Amino acid sequence: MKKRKLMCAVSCLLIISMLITACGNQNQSADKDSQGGTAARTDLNFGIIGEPKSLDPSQVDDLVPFSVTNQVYDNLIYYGTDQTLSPGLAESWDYSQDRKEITFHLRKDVKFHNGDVMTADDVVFSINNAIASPFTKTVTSSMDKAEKMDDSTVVLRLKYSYGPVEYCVSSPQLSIVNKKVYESDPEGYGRNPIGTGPYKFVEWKSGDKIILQAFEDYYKGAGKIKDVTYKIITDGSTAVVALEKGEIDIIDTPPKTDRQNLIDNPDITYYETEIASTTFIAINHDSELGKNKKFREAVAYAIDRESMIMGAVEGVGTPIYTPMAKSCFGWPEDFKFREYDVEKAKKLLAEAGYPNGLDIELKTTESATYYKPTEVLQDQLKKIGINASITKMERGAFWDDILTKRDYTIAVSAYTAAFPDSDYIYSMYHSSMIKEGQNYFNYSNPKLDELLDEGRKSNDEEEREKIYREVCEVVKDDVATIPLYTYMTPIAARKDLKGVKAHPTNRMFIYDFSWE
Amino acid sequence: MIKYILKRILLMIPVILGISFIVFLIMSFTPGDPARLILGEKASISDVENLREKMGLNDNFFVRYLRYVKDAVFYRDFGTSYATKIPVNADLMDRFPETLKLAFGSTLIMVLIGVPVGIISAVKQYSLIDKVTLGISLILTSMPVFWLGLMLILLFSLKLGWLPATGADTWVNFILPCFSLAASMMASLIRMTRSSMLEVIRQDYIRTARAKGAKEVTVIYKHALRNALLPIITIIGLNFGGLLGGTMIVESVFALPGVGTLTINSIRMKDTPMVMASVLFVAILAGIVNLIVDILYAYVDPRIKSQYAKN
Amino acid sequence: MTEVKEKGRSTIKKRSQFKSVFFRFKKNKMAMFGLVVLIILTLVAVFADFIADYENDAISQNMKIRLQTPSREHIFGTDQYGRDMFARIVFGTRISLFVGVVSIIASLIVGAVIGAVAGYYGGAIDNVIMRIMDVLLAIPQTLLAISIVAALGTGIFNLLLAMSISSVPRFARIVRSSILSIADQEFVEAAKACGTKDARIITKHIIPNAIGPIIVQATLNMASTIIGIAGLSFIGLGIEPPIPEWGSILSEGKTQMRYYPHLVVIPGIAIVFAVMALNLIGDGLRDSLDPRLKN
Repeated sequence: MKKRKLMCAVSCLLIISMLITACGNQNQSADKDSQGGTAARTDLNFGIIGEPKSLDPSQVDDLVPFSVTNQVYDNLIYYGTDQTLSPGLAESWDYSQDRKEITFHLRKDVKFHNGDVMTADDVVFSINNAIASPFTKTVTSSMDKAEKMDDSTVVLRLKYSYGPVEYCVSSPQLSIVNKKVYESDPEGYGRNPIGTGPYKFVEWKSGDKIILQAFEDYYKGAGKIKDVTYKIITDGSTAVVALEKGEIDIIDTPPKTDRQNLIDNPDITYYETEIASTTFIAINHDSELGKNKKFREAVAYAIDRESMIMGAVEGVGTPIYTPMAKSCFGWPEDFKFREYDVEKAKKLLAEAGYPNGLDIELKTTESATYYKPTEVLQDQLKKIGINASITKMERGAFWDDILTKRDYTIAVSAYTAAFPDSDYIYSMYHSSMIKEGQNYFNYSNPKLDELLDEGRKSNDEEEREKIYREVCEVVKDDVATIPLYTYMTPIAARKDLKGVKAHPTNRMFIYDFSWE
Repeated sequence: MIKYILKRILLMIPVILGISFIVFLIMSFTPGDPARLILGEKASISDVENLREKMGLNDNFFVRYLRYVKDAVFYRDFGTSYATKIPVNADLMDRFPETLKLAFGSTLIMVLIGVPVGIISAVKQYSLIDKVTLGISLILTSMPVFWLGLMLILLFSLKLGWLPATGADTWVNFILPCFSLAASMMASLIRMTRSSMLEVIRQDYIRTARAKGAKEVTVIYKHALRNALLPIITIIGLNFGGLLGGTMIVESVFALPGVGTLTINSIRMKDTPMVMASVLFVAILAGIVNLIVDILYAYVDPRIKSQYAKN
Repeated sequence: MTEVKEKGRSTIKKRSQFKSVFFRFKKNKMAMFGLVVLIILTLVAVFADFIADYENDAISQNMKIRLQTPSREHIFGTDQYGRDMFARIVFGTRISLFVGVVSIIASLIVGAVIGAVAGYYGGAIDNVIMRIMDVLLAIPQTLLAISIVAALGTGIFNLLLAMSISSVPRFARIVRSSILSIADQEFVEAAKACGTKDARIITKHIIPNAIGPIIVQATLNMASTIIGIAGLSFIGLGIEPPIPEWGSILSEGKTQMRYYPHLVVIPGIAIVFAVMALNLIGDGLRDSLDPRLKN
């Protein structure tokens, strides 16, 4: 009997002690957060919705890791939240006569987080590594290779003269990494990043948080915020609650459903700007239906953009009628696409050879950005007699089917303009990009090719505007793709946090932040 | 005794191997190419082919399975995650304390609430309290655990703001998740405690104790409970497997960075090495708990103990 | 009914087993309540088309009336695409009950066959089969279902498969133990000696013995299957849109939960009712069959 009591007691003790020891570790971080009083805060709790796969800039291509890498790394050219370009790690740069070479003059006072001085070797390595990576084709397609001239001079050779190249150089994927450390452990670099940026990496607890600390030897001076904790929160609504309670200080892209609530909250400031991205319907012109112009036109007339915007982004968006995003140079403001007309759509569908409707498959992925408009599209297609079934796929599998295998008829897709110039659509609409580039529509139109080539070569602003307006006409007439909408991208932060600004490509620099 | 323990441990091994085989089999049916997943959407077809060769993905099923078992058993190498590109052990080690906290916390709540409630129900059989507790426990068990969790979040986090909804910072974060999980599984424990106690109470020796003038409390706790304990312990052990399954969903709802969310995410991403490792972890954990329960059982039940003492 | 005379007492009529079980079941008020609820739900599922309009209310989007709280026109309100919640819940009943019933029947048949083979042939075959069943049982049901659906893809068939596989071992065990408990007994030997065919033994003895626990298990498993499907749909591995399964309705409502709780509360209550009814029936049956509770 005594033994029995003993066993019970022991088991209880074991369990309790386990809990206590496990929790003991966590309490420290909780204490650090509560810094009130008169001194301004120097810590920041950043809520990210999702977890980065890696912090190696050349191996990732979505916004979640970028929000961390933008603090840890620097680029040669800096693209700030005020949407201007300025010198970064390069003090200055000049172009060759044919504009196919750029010579960067590097700063000499830049240190990595581990103390190493940044040299041309690091820059050359980083750029060539990025060019070789399969994830960066959007921004590196114009680049050939980088070469070292001397310890502080690097030449970047391009395949062709490319107007927006400076934006490409400033893209997060072309951040500068430490060559020595990277080569010694390429796979591990993503979990233990070393950069030259204003914040150095401290710790990454999988599924829980990522911790950064201000780099005191930053060449521009240390940031005002000293400790950054990225809290990984998978559910948007609970992130909002955490923000309201002060458990976190800022959320990048809070859910649209909470927009009004956040705007109304007196302790929170809601920032938003239009995202430099378009949501559109991609059409596979190699598929049987995709080849059928009447079919494409029918679908185009079936689209009710207002309802789509309501259903997909809670009404916080605007319709778009062009293949390129609004923020781009060359975007024709008053351009219109086909209006919503169900009867016309049904007629065209009959003319296309399907008077009794037909069945198609819509592939999409779990991200709300894609499946919500797909669900609305399914309903709108139903109204003209097309029965669409939705196949929700995992992100990798989805892009595998759409981009590589090109196994789809139509699908809702989105694309962010890497830089604010209409030329970015070249890699999607030019026929030369079908094999090696991102023309996953298999679209080939010689007239469009000609226009795109001219737009790329020309340096005359007025001429380019005319060219891109014509591009929109061609895309519209031939229904290459069907543009849908663009939406506002928000940031929500405690109102005492200064220096926050919403950016069309979701770029954010904690270096600019400070507490009141 | 030692013999018994060793025998049980040995029995666990084929079960675990069997589980690994079944999961590997299931994962091999998944469409999608791991090499493509690692390299990403924009890689070229030749890059992908090269990686497939390097990873040995073109070998046949049994070769791959045996290679996996060999690496796991002899080198403690459970593979490298397709997603994070580092060995799976790292992530697993990071995450399993959270799942353990959830599982044991829920079990603790379940026992601390369920057992006394079951006892009271038994003692006051057919009374209002009895009916009410049975009713409530029935309703709780009929709720999907994720719905219960959502309702609790809605009430305690979003509307009242008393408790945090997600994350795993301090023990406070675990209150809602543990409670949800415990509540959904508590019914069978309450029921078993109740019926076990009922059976014991009817026994003659209880009547004897009462006749001897022992206090009711002593009767219940000293005599009745220790005999009723056996089935209770068994049920806890048996349910632990289901509890672990429940942790997967609960972790999802409350965004706890445990093995459950890791498993779900890696299944989604077709990250086979990670899935295998997580499933094996869950299976081994359930096996260990069952083993402990069996041992406790053997210790506590003098009949079993004497059987082995003789040997 | 046969009459049994006992010395000195009035005759006591011996009811057939089925009738006595049913009689005891009827006395159990809670179990009867569960049965009534289940019958109502079944009627709703079967006659759903008469209660609500599938095309217009449950499926068709109408942004103008989105996110309405319950009102006279829309008893349960509307969801984020303007679809009528009442219609969706009604049709959800059909889907949940359908998948539940089909998966249980499938696993029952497969499990019974496996259990029968194991129990009847015994020896090595029995050992191997039961080890495999043990392994399947050791994998938590949720995990197994998620793996299968994630591997094979979503869709009704895969979902049915995933849910059935986890239930098979339990049915196999019941049938097997029923066979084992009977097979040893002397009257079986005697019957065999008389030349009674195996089939007769099976139908006359084994099945009646096993049927009680099987039905109990079936109702209880169906309850957990319904929760399981809802769980899968909740994580996004269940039924595809726009089909209104309760779990996916819940999952869709989750993002709006804070401002429009009815989107989450109502489907949850539906699930609770269905599962509770099944649990009550299962428990009631179990109590009715339990010889110790005979009075």
